[in-house]
This record gives sequence, structure tokens and C-alpha cells, in this order.
Amino acid sequence: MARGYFGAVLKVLGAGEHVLTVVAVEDVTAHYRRITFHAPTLFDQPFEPAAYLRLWVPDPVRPGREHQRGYTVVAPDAETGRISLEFALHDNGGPASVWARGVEVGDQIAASRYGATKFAVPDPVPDGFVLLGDPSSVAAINGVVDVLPRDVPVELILEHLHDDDLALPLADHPRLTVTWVPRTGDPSVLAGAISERDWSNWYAWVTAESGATRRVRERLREFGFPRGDVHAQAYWIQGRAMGKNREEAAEPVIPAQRAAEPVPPAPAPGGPGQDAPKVRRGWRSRAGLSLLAPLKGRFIAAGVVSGLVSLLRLAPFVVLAELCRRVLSGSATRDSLVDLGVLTLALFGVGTGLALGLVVAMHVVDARFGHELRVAVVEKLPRLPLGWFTDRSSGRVKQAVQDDAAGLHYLVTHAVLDVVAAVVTPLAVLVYLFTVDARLAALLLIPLLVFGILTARMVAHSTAAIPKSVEWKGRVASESIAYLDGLPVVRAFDTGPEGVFRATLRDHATFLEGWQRPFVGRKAIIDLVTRPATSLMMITAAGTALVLGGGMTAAELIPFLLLGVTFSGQMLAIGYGLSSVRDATHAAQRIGLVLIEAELASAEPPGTLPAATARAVRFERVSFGYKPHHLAIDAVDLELRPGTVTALVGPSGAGKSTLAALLARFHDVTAGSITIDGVDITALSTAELYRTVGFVFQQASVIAGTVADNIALAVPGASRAAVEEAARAARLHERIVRLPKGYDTVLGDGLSLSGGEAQRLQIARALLAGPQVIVLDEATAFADPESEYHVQEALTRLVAGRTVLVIAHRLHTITDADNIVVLDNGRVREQGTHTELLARAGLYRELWQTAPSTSTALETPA
Amino acid sequence: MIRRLIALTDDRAKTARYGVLLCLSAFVRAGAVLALIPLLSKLFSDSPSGAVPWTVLLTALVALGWFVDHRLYRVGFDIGFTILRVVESRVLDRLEHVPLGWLDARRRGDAQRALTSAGQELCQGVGYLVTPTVNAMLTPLLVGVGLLAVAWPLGVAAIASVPLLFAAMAVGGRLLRGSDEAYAQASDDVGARIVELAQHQAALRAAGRAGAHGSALGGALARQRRAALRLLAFGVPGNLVFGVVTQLALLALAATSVSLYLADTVTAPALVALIIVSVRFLEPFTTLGDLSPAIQNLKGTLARVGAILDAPGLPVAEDPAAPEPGPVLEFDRVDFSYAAGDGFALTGVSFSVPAGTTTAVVGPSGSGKSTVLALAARLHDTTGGAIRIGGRDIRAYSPADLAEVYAVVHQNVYLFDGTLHANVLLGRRRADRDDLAEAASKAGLDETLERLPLGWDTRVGESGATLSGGERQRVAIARALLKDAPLLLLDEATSALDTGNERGIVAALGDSSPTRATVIVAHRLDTIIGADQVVFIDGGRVREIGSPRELIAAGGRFAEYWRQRHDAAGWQLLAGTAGSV
Repeated sequence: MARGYFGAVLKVLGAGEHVLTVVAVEDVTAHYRRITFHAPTLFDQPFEPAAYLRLWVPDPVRPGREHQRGYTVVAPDAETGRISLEFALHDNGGPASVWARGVEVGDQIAASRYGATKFAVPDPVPDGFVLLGDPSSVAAINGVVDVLPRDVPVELILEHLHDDDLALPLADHPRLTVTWVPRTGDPSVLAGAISERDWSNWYAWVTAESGATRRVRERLREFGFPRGDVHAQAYWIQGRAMGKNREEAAEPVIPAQRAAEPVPPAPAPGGPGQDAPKVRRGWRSRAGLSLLAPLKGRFIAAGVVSGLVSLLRLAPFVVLAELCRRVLSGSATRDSLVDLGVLTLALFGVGTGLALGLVVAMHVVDARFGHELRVAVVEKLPRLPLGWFTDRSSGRVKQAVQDDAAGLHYLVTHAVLDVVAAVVTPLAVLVYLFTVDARLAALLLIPLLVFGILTARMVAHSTAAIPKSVEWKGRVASESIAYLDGLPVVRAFDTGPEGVFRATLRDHATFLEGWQRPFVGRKAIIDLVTRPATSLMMITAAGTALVLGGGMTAAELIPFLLLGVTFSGQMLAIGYGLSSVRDATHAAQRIGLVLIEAELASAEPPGTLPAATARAVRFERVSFGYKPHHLAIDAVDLELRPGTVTALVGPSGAGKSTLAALLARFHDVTAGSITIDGVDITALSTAELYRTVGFVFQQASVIAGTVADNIALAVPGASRAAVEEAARAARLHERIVRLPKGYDTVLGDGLSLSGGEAQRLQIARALLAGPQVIVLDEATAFADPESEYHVQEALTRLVAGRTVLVIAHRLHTITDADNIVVLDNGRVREQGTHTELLARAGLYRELWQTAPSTSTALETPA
Repeated sequence: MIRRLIALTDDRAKTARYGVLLCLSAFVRAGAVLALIPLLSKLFSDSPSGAVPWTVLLTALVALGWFVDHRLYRVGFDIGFTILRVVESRVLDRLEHVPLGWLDARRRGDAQRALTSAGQELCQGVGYLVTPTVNAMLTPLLVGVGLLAVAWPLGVAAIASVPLLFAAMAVGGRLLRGSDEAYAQASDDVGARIVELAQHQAALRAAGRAGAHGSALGGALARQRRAALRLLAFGVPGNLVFGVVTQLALLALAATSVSLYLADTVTAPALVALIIVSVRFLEPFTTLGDLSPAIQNLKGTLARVGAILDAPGLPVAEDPAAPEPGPVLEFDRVDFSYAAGDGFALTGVSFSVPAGTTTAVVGPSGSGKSTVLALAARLHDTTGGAIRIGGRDIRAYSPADLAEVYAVVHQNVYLFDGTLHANVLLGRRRADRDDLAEAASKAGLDETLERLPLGWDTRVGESGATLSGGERQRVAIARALLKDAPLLLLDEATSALDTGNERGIVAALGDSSPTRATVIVAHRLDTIIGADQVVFIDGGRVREIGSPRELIAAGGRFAEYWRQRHDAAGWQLLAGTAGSV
């Protein structure tokens, strides 16, 4: 079969071929046809969103010739082995259009899957998506829309060629806006349909006709879209695949609204500001670049010096080649050879000196830059809403501060230098060798070609195994943790050759072997072809032939023997260098994202609280939501009178902890205000706020450090006597003196406190800090119930005389509270004293009656 | 390193073949380089046609090298795949036999890495690292020896440069590693502080200690910065030393060749040939330089695996005294400390648990209760005294025999990502459906089975993620019941078993068999009161022993404990003092 150049390339690269059998043909419109195929072999690889097939369509005129056309896979169904493809039918259509027009059930067609585009929602999620295309890319666009998050706006701008194109089925999305524009033949119509406004942080996907795609791309660049936030690919070319240009009168743009929900009138925070099109906030994806911007000048200087050093490293070889030339030509005198030696030493000295200076300079730059960066991130963290942390594991936070900063360390100190060296060295060699003899130099590129082909084939054969290997990796990692955690149990139940985890590991090894073993031969060939010995053989064999045939002089062979032999290896090193730069720029990007996160509001200058012994706290119409469209706290009014205990009760998920967290400014209210003695808490400095409001959390935090440090966490200068007094009041002193080094015992490394002890430590901490307002999140269960008693004693002391907000999980502990507030779904359902609420027959009474009885029922045996 | 790899392979024939192929490969490579000398000498002479046979020889040698190395790759990967299959299983063998105390946090991390990635790293290591490294080490030596025959001063210079180059590589590597380690240490400290900052953000923020100034993290960052600058002293020479020495070696070899030419010992074409061979001679060192960080990683992996494989196992006593009939479990004046030099965690603990009875081990936190359970399962060996199960010293049981005689329900429920059925079946692999159903029913697992559409065939997910905490606990109990071992060890995990209808389960476990002895670390009052015997422990010593009612009546330590626990249950925040109900 004649498939031309591309067919051959695909075959060489290892793309498998599949046969598709037509099982159904459906005309969506008069100009749009959906064809369903049976193709079970396609499903050995999973289909990604917007994946496409390379279809081999027959040439309508020249039998036996086939053209390759990409078509987006619609509704792949592994169970039935069916997929659909959608074809725009045109009067003067290309081969695919012609084939689709004449297709019948039972027809067969060949297709390859290679390098399928996949669409993954960028991380972090953009503020919106603008998708541009026409009927030929509707299938792809539908695939993309299907996987977009439901809460971001999506603008779809499509060209229509026929009136019935407007009836094409489009994917559902709650925030989708569709605009149709008629295709007039003028390639700038689509670009003209993009409204003028601030598109900051949007992502663009462009799959239209070639000319239109180009214009759209230009337009997006004018709007400031960074290259990484635009996916642009022409799906067809006017006048080539689709016949001649059609001349039609230009029509005005008719926007056709098609949205399940009307376009939100005001853009959500982060959405485009309609009224200020000229002000751009910029793209988050540029965060990493702006981070590195101050270093740009230094990078360029370092790159230049590094290139120079690389060239100087080659110098001895060039000098040696010159030496050989002189010796062979008989012009070498002792003096001239000595001169060459001196020259070499001089070059060598200069090169080494430069390299030394460069390494030192970059390390010094990095030590300062890296440190400042880390400090900036660490200083940033306390200004973020606490929700930022709950959305991320501590491991991810560590990655941002530490690992990514280390990645940048590599970028700054090594990557630029390494990449420049990796690129300059082989290129300089190649240029030099080409000037000596182009034929022989060209020969040296053959191993690289072989390398490229074999690697591509291996990649093609690995596409199915790679996701599986990722899955295996996760599974083995989590099961090995479970195994090690459960070792005491494993020993009783799961030892010996029959062990379950052992079998998992065996299966993993079998998978790895089955995947990797077929590659052993190919990897061996890659190594054999790119090794110096192979280049040496090619150079000597071809060189001997050329010299004997009079094609070149023997002396011209010398540079090849000195520099050409290791050329392949050097070329391949470029790839490794580039991949490390990519990793490092991703690291910069992640750090940059942290630094541009929105902060909690701060007041300048901060307000102060009037002097008082007890504080009143007032929540006024307070609302808060973790997500824009869902309120966790809804218009709550609440007053904590000075020196009283207010208990928050309610079913789990009612918003108790969230409401308490707002008083701590772990989040800022969305609406309403919280005041302490009449001063809004957002007007207070954080220091003042946390001096006034103290916390006892459900999970007590123990910091690595001594017991005394832990108690004095909020009052670092506290005297030992004050620390001990707090510990005594918290009923912890006696336990501390029994520790190996008493108050100087370091907690964390090997020595840890029990849950109840940590609770008392936390209470001691609060007692020492002496805040006038206490937020108490009662522990639900005690890991060591025997110390519950002491914790209770300590709590009783802590709350005495303070304004207290307690989140109660067990109702019987707060029946004496001054005020009990019943929360449900973020709203206050009822409030009052225990007796009042019980009398009211509301939610509180319901909760009281269904609460698990306590073991008070258990009689003490006499 | 090589020895450890061979030990893991465990196939002498295969390793021997690998060794032979490695040597052959190095000879062929050296031969090809040396063939350059006559080839180039002829080619650069007045009669270049004399070079043709040598060109043919060189081509043949390179082709032979391909053949040999292709075989070498196959054998190398064969060995690698063998290691892949064997190494994890051996690590498991060891982990099942070490005293649990040996497995501290660091070794646990090593063990986890050994189980998840070591096999793969070692498999690839043989093929991609060991083969080229050994090759690159042998080839220059062979070329040097060959040069002795052609131009002995150059040969001597070449051979003399080999140790120098290796030394430079080692020194450079050590300096770089030293600087990396110093930096990594400072970085680890920062990393730990950042994790702390993230985990305890609320507490630290509330204490005003969340920024970089005046906090522990701020201090760690400053230390890291100082470390970064200090390591320049190591890092800079480390980066440069090998490159400098390589270039100097090249100059020395070229100078030697030139001096031979000036002394008329070699001809002009031969000089050119020798210079080119000198360059080729040095080339493997560059390869080695590129490979050496990866080789260091491989060494690290091998060392970690080795440390686990060499870990001390719990010894099995050779000839135990004849078992005497007695209680199912007996502690006989048991002393125990976790590490030599540490204080005793248990001192002189004696008690016995006859068949058909339940003993509750009670005491304040840190008193040694859990240690008692751990010793009964021989997770550690006693420091003094003896533990007997069924009248036989626990140290005389083989691990497999010991696993037969006890079942355990632990706070850490071990569930693997398989079906509910497979997880319970760990109790007794050959149990039939009826046995399973009975165990499930006793453990209160019925409701769960009904709730789940797939019933027994439900996959429990990673660490049992699809089940609630209570359900996981019930799976563990069902598994222990299914095993029906003479000794049942229960760690009453309060968190999951505290509520609702799970109340009776623990008690039911204790009573369910006249032949079984149950030891339970108990927190809940109704469990304690239902036990036949209470062993009250504090400070690692048995303070009181007897039936719960006797002890309460006696008004001693246990009675005090009982009163406090009882009062805590009725506590109110504002009642002034605890226990005033």
C-alpha cells in the first residue's frame, strides 16, 4: 500500500496498525456524519480525553494510495470494542470526506495509534477556558469540555460552514457559552470573535482551519496569552483538503447562546474583568519565570562563560590535531612543538580558572537567592488562609519550600552551565568536523538516527505499560507501608511463602520483567550503535577508503579520530541536560504559585484593643464558604459575653469547627464581621489577635523541642517558674518530672507523649499565654482514656473566668454552659441554656435523646 | 558490592559466564584500540594501502565486540531479573524474623524502599551500570599493557596514570558526596521543620511562631544557608579535580609520545597513531566519571538491602526442656528493656493465664501494658526470666510454630488491597464457607457484609479504605476468631470499638471457647469488669493481681484507677472540679 513518507515513518517508529469495521452510520446533520466502528484491538491502550486516531483513507482518484487523517475518538467503549468518529461532509471534500460520504456498514479501514494528543486540565486550574474551532474539531472540543472542571467558565467560539452546523450536538457544561460565527473565507473572522477583555489566567484551545488558527494565535498573543497556555493545532487547510476557496459575502457575527445556566453577571473572583480590558493581571503560569527574572542577566553571563569553558576544553584536541598535522608534514621542529605545548598549558590554565570562577560565582548567587526564596515562602505561609494547608498534605508544602527550592538550586548552580556545555561541545565539534570533511561528518549522524528510531519504538510499545507501572508503584508503596505498620499482625497471620504481600511483590516483579525483558535487546543495540567503538570503526573504514581513493588526505582524518569518536555520546547528553532544566523550571513554577497566592487581609496600621480583663466577642451576619457557590457558615449572629461559656453543638458537618476557625482568622469571613470588644479582628495585628484569643485543638500539636519550649511556645521568654506553674495547673508537672531530663527532655525523636499528655501540654501552653478568649475544640476520643481524668481537671481550670467558645462533641459535658448554640447546615437553629433547649422540642432535644449513653450507666460494683 | 550482587544471584554458572564475557569484552575493546596503531601508522605513511588489512581487523574486532556485548547484555539482565525476583522475598524473610525493636524509624524507611524500589534498581543496575563500569575499568589497563609492547615508555606512563585517574575520581566523588551530605543534613532539618510547620500550622500560627523570624524554622534556614556556602570548599574542587587530572594525563601522554618522536624512537606516522591511541585510552575514564554517581546510588541501595539481610533474627533454641502441661500463657519473672543500657520497661512480671479464662492487663499510659502483649507474641526477646506458651519456652518455637499458637487483634489493623474474603481468610487459609460465616457473625461483620453489594467479594481498598474504622476492626476480629488459636492477644483499640453495638464483641471473644486463653490490654470499664483476672501494671511492675471485684473491694491502686475512670465519664466542663457528679 502506498502511504508515502508518513506511513513509512510511523511504521519505523513502531505504531501498530488496527482494522476498523463500520457497524453504524448516523447523519447528525446533512453535513455531519457519525460513523461507529468495531475495533477491539484499539483498546489495549486506554483512551485519553480528545485522543485521536490516524486514519488511512483511500485516495478517491488514485486507487491504492492512502492518506493519513487524524480523527478524534468519540465515545470509546472497551466493553463492546466500539468507537465512533465524526466527519464533516463537504461538497468539495478531501479524501476522508469523500470516503465518509460513500461509506457502508461492513466497510473496513486501517488506523494507527501513535503519539495521540491527550488533554489534561492544567494544574493549577485556569480561571476559564476559551475553545475555538469549527465542525471539523467539534468532536475534539466535546472531548475536552467533558473533562473540564464544572465550576470554571468555558467560552466556545465556533465557525459554521452551513446553517445546520448550528444544530451539532455540543458537550454539556454548566458554565458553557457558545458563540457561532459564519465562515466567510476570511481567516481573521474567528480571531475577531474573541472579545476584548482581560483574559488573565485563561487557557485557550484552538483547533480550526490553518489560516484561522494562525490568526487566532496572533490575537491571543496580543491579549497576553503565554505560549504554554495556548494549545493551537490546525485541523485542516483551506483550499487543500477541502477544495477551493468559497467566496461568500461577509455576514455579521451572530452570537448564539447555548448555556444550561445563564452567564453569571459578575465574574467570580479571578474571572476576567469586563469593564477594564486594558488592565491585565497576568498569568499564573508565568509565576515561575518572574521568579527567575532577577537572575536572567547572571544566567546569560554564566552561559557565555560556560560556553567559553567548553570550547577551551576542546582546545587540547585541536592543538593535538595541529601537532599531528605538523609532524606529518615534516614541518615540526623541536621549538615549534614546545611552543604548542606551552600554548596548550596556557589554554588549559585559562579554562580551569574560568571554570573555577564560574562554579564559585554560581554557588554564591544560589546561596543568597535560594535562602531569600525559602524565607519568602516561609514568611508567606502564615499569611495564607488555613484552608490552603488542609487542601495540601504536609508533603506538598515541604515540596514547595524545600524540594522545589533544591530543584532551583540545581537550576541555578548547574543546569544552565551543564546545558550550555552539553550543547556547545557537540555543536562545536560538528561544525569543526564539517569544515574538515562534510561527508565523513555526515556519517557520524547515523548512530543518532538509529538511536532516535529505536527509542521511539520503545516508547510506542511502552504506552500501555507506563500507566500500569505507575499503578503498580502506588500499590506496592501503599501495601509495603501497610505491611510494615501491621508487622505484629502479619507475623501471626501472613508469614511464609504463602504470604499475600509476598505474592503481590512476585506479581510486581513478573510485570516488570514482562515489560522490560523485550527491551533488553533493543537497549543493547542502542548502546552498541552509539558507543565510541562504533564511531571509530565508521571513521577508520570510511577514512581508509577515502584516503586510498584520494578523496581526502590522511591528515584530515586526524580531527575525526580525536573528536568525532565520542560525538554520539555528547549529542545524547543534551537530552539529559534539557530534561533537568525542565524539572527545575517546573519547580520554579510551583514556588512562584505559592508566592502569588491570595493572602488574608491585613490592616495598616493595625488597630488595638481597649484594656479590659474580660472580652466580649460578637459575630455579626457572618458568612463563609470554602468554595464560591457553597456557604459553610450562613449569616450567623452570635455573642460571647465576657467571662461566659458558649457551646457550639450540632450534627457533624454543621459548621462548628469552621465557625470557631473564623474567630482564629484561619480563614477570613466572606461577609459580615467578627469583633472583639467592638474592634474588627481583621483590623488587629496577628500578634495582638493571638495574644487575646487562645486555642485548644482537638489534636494537640507537639513541636520538636524540649518540653519547656513546647509549653512556652507562645511566650518564648517565659521563666522556668512560670512554665512549671502552668504545667502544674494543667496537671502535667508530675508526668514531666518523671521524664528522663524533666523539662529539658526533647520531645519528638523517639520520645513522644500520649494523647492525653499532649492535651495537657496544650492546655499548659494556653494557661501560660493567658489569653482572655479561649476557643476549645473538645477531643472526641482519648487514645489513653486513663489520662482523660487529668485532662478534664486541667480544662476546668483553663476555662475559669475566661470568655470561652467550646465545640462540643459530647453533649453531657456542656449542659451547664451559659449559652448553647445549635448549628445546622451553617445556620444557627436555636440557642439557649440546656433546660430551655430541652423544653423547646427542637434539634437540641433530638440530639440529646439520640446521643450515645455514657458509661455513667455502669454501676460501680461494691 | 560485586560480592553482594553475586550472593543475591545465587547461580554460579550464570555469574561465571557473565564474568568470562566481561573479560572477553574488555579484551576485544582493548584490541580494537590497539589495532589503531598499525592501522594509522600505515595510513599516514607513504604506502597507505598497507592499512587495509588492519582496517579489516579493527572492523572485525568492533563487530566481535558487538556480538560479545549483546550476549553480555542478555546475561547481565538475566542476572538482574533473577535478583529482582529474589531480593524482595529475602527481605521479607528477614523482616518476619527480626526483633521488632530492631526496626526503628530509619530502618523502617530503608525496608520500605527495599520493598518498593530496590529490586528494580538492582535489576537495572547490573545491566546498565555494573557491566559498563567493569568494562571501563578493565579496558584502559589492557590498552596500557598493549602499549608496553609497542612503545614501552608510553605504556609505563599510561599504566602509571591509571591509579592517578582513579584516585582523582575517588577524591572528587568523595568531596562532592561530603558536600552533598553536609548540605543534605542541613536541608533535612529544614524539611522536618517545614513538615512540622504545615502539620501544626494552626497551633504555630496561634502561638505567633509561624514565620521565618524567631522560629525554629528560621534558625534551620539560616544554618542551611551557612552550610551552602561552607560546602563550596568541598564542592568546587570536587567538581574540577577529575577533569583537571584527565587533561593533565592527556598532556603527559602526548608529551611522552612527542619526546619518543624527538628521540627518533618512533616515526612521524607512529607518533600520530600513539597520540590518537592516548586519547582513546583516556576515554573510558570519562564514561566512569559519568557513571559514578549512579554507581554510588547502587552501592547505597545494596547497603540498605544488605543491612536488612544481615539483621539479627530471633534465635530458636536448639533443645528445649520437655514441655510441661500448664497454663496456656505464663510470664515467669520477666524483665525487659528495649535496648541495652536503657532502663527496664518491665521488671519481674509474673502471671499466668489458664485455658478458658480472660486476663485484662490494666494500667496508666506508659506503664508497659503493650510491652506485655508484644513479648507474648515474641516481637522482642525478654532480657531476663521466661515466657512459656503451653508449658514450652517461647524461644523454642520456630517462627512458623509460634504463628500457629496465637492470634492477635492489634490497633494497627493489617488489611491488604484484596477482597474482604481474602483478608479474613488470612486467619485460616483452608477454612470453609461455614467457618467464615460463623467467625463473621461472632465478630459482628454481618451488617457490613449485607451493606456491601458485593459482600465477601468487596475489595477493601488501600489499607481497607472502603471500610470504616469499626468495620476494619471487626475484620481483624473475625480473622482472629477464624484462626481459633489457643492464645488470643487483644489490644483493645478504644477509638474504633468504643461505640454502639460493638460493646459486646470483646467480651464475647473472651468467653467463646473453653480451651482458649485471652489476654487483653483493656481500657473500657465493662471489659475490665468482665475479665477473670486483672493484672494492674504501673512503672513496668505488677502492682496488683486478682479478680476485678476483689481489687475494687481492696481499695488499692486499681480501685483508685477505677474511681477516676468512672468519674471521668460523668464530667462536665463547668462543674468546678471533676468527678463531682
